[in-house]
Parts: sequence; structure tokens; C-alpha cells
Amino acid sequence: MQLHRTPAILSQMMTDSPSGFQLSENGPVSPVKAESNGPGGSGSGRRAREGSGGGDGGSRSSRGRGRRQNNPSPSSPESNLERVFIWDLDETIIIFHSLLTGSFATRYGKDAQSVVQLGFRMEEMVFNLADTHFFFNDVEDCDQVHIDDVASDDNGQDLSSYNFGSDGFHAAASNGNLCLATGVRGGVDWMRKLAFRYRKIKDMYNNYRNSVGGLLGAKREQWLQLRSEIEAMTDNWLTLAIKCLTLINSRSNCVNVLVTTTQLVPALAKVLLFGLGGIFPIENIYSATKIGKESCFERIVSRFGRKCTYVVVGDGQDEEAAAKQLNFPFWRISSHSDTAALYNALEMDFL
Amino acid sequence: MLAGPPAGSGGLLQQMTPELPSSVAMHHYQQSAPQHSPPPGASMSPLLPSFGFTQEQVACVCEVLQQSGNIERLGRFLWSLPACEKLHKNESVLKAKAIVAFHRGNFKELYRVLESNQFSPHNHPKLQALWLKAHYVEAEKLRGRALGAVGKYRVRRKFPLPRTIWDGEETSYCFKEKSRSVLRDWYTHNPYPSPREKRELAEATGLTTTQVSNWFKNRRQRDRAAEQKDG
Repeated sequence: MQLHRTPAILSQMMTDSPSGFQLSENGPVSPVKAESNGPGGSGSGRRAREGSGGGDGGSRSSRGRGRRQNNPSPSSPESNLERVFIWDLDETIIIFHSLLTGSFATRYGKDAQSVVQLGFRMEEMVFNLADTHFFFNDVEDCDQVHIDDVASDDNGQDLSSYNFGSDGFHAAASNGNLCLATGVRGGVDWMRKLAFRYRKIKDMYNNYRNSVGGLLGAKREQWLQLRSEIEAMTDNWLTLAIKCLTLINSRSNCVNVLVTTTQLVPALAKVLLFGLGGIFPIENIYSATKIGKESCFERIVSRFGRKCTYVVVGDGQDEEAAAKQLNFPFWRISSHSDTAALYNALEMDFL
Repeated sequence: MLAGPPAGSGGLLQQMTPELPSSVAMHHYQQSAPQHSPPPGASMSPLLPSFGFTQEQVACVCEVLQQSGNIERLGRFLWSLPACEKLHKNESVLKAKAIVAFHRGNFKELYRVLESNQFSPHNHPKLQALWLKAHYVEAEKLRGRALGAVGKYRVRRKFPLPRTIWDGEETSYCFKEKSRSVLRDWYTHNPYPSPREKRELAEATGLTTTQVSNWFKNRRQRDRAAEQKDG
């Protein structure tokens, strides 16, 4: 790194404080700072960011056409936001994938058969929920990074009596390759129908996030049973994680964000089925399948600004690499004790 | 690089202890962190309630507090760390100590930390800034008034950056020595690279093609001027 830059940094530090050798208390020392609240407040900054996620399935209409304002996510918290915790989902908050692969059983010396069974049962519930209530069949090939990504193609019409089953979306979609490449495939009409679906998903999530049982109807008992079996099998892994998440949520200057490598729709189903719906507003959930964790992190930074600090919590691999790229501190979760330590650190106000 | 030296990375429990009752209260959930062995009882001491953090986690906390500018809290955190040599040699911890020392105006301590430990290049810019600023401030105190550019230059000459936080690259040039030598070499073979060759040079040097073009143009100009001057 060139020292060349130093004089600029120093003169910044000098002007910041009268006493001459205090570093600024209130934010990162970087000389390049956004002044007011992060660009999340202004629609254009965010939209440009989201629009540039070129890989998001080509569901963006051509840029030239005049667009309705994006359904705005709740405007980013004011500049009292201090910390954003970026969580990975699988094997960090929930134990799921490793149940299925048997690696959990191996690692903790549990009976492989029963462990894998638990995994299967939960997986089935996840995809059932995704198919039944979240149009997974329809949108599987047009998956998005974020729930609001196609909102600009929406026209806001009332959907309470809209018939999703017979609106021709499926026929058009089965015309192959619709969601790849840019361009107006399937037409404006099709885009709008896609947007309707995502709006509907958002509404469903918001309505049932604190009462998933309602969504499951008869399967509710089964679900509760499965959940408690998984908790018992994993020694309350999820419970411990929820303690951390809840503590963070209770602070007005901190926020939890989820970035997962699962596709968005199944991820939403997982979140609900693992009882995390009350913790994560849907706008705080990102799927990295298309664009990778690093790009997701960058989107999050665009949204919340550079004034706050970011902490990445995950079990390794992609999130660690992405965190390193962006110089975010990384808290590794490999076992219960790591989550417990995280809770301690939070409680003692170190994080 | 957030974690310290490789030996310290992770340091996590290799196995969970399944028999541990899940009702164990969070506060007392100790980690047996094998990679650093505090003096017996240190982590159980009532003064340090649940010091169950691995080196990596300590490093993470240091980074978070630094980035958020919470230097006071960072200082308290450092103070609460058990007296474990390995832990205190972790780069993030050392960096934190340097920052806290600077913040408190304890420049002797700052210099000591910076000079007695090798830091990775990733951290050099920030630590160089601390070194220089501290020296400038001290010089100003001696002088009794603010330092100008020349004054600062003299300070830098008098207190050169320690190699622990500097890779030795001379800094009065805009481009790294490595890049410049590539360009110089090329120039001796051919002072007029083609557009494609410029692109290749740009890639080889990590510069843009415009920068490469400008470098050649300036170099030719200066050679010409030198020649004229010599007659």
C-alpha cells in the first residue's frame, strides 16, 4: 500500500479534532465518508445498486422504460444505526443441511438414521410450504436476491381476488429460457405477474411470520413435534442462536440481516419453519445464490451506509472470504461454544 | 487479516460435549480453548467472569470496536484480557493496543508496540498513520506551533518508519518501484509501445493504460529535454 495517501488521512484527522491527536470517536477513520445517512434513504442510490445485479434472472425490464418507484423497503434507519450483523443461515443459526448429509450425526456421535430422517422431514416441510404458499414452482427459475427486486414491475393493483393459478404465468414461463439474459422476454405482462407473486409472498410472510402455525393448518402439530425433536437432537442450537439474535434486535442501534446461499423462496420458508420469522423482517433477507455473498454484502453496505460497523457471523467458507474482502470482522460459528461466546460478547457490550 | 498468526486461528473446540446439559447457563459456558493456556484459574477468576473467548474471537471484538471508533471500550476490553502471551501477540490485539495508546497520548507505548512486532501489510497504512501523527504532534509540542510541510518532512526523515509497519518502498513516487522498473526496462527496448503493448504493460504493472501512456510520454519528453540541455 502506498504511504502516499497518508498525508490526506492525517490532515483529515487533524481537522477532525481540536486537540490534535484524537482519532474520531464516532465512526471509522476512513477519510472517505458519506456525509448524511447512507444512500439507502435515496431511492436512486439503492435502485442503481439493485438494478446492477445483472444476474437476477433477466426479469428486469429494459432500462429505457419509465418505471414505477420501487416498493421501498423501510427507509434505512437514521444515523443512530451503529452495527449491522450479517448472519449466515445454515449451520450458523439453524442446523439443517448437515442433518441431511449425515455430517452432523458423524460429528456429534448421533444415530445417523434418525438424524437424517429429521432432516428429510424438515426438508419436505420447507418445500411444501414454498410450493403451496410461495409459488416456488412458478418462480424457481426466476429466483431473486431480495424480495423487492422486481417490485418496480408491479402496478400495485389489488390482489385479493386475483387468480394466480390461471393467469397464464405458467404457460408463458414454460416457454423456456425466459429468465436468462436481459431483455423483455415474455413481455411486460409476464414481468408484472412475476411481481404480483413476489408481492403476494411478501404479504404472506408478513401475515404469518409470527404465527406460522396458521399457515400450516393440520400440519401444525407435526411441525411443532419436528421442531422440538430437532432442538433436542442439536442440543438447542437454534435456541442459543435466537438468544443472540433477540438481544441484537432489542437494541435500537443494531440490526440483523440474513444472507444465505439458499434460493430466496425456500430460504423464506426455512426462516418461517424454524421460527425466525419474528426476528427477520423480509426486507432483511438476501439470497446469495445468483450473485454471491460478497455482492450481497455490498448491497447491504449501500443500504445501510458506511457509518456503521458490520459484523459477519457464519460457519466459514464463503462468508469468511467475503468478509475479508470487505474488511468486515468475522465471528466464526463452529460449535455451541462459539454461539455462547457470541452471546457473552453481546451481553458484555463488547460487540 | 483479522485472525492472528495461523496457529491462533480457530482454536475452537474440536468436538462438542454432547453430555453437557443444555440447561447450562450461558454465563458459565466456558470454552476450553486449548491454544492458549491462561494461568490456572485466570479465566475462572471472579474478576474475569466468563473469559471464554478464543483468540480469533478476541481479534474480532478488537476489530469491531476499532472500526466503530469505540476506543474507550476497546481499552477496557484489552485490560480485561487474561495475561496470555500468545493472545497478546495476536496482530489484531497489538493493533488495538497501538490505537488505544495513541488515543491516550501514550506515544512511548505506541512506538514500543509498533517497533517490537511485525505487522502484516494489510495493517501498514493505518499504523504508519499513527506513527507519523504521533511524531508530528510531539514535534509540534516541542516547536510550540503547527508543523508545515517542511517540518513534517524533517520529522519523517528523523523518525523513519520502522520496517515492522513499512515494506521499505520509497514513497516519493506515485508508482511502485516494481512497476517503474518494468516500465523502465521496456523503455530501453522500445520507447514507443503500441496500444496493445500498452495494455499488456498496464496489466503487468497494475496501472491503467492511460497511466502507462502518460508515463512513456513524459519519459520521452524528459529525455528529449535532458538531451537538449546537454547539448
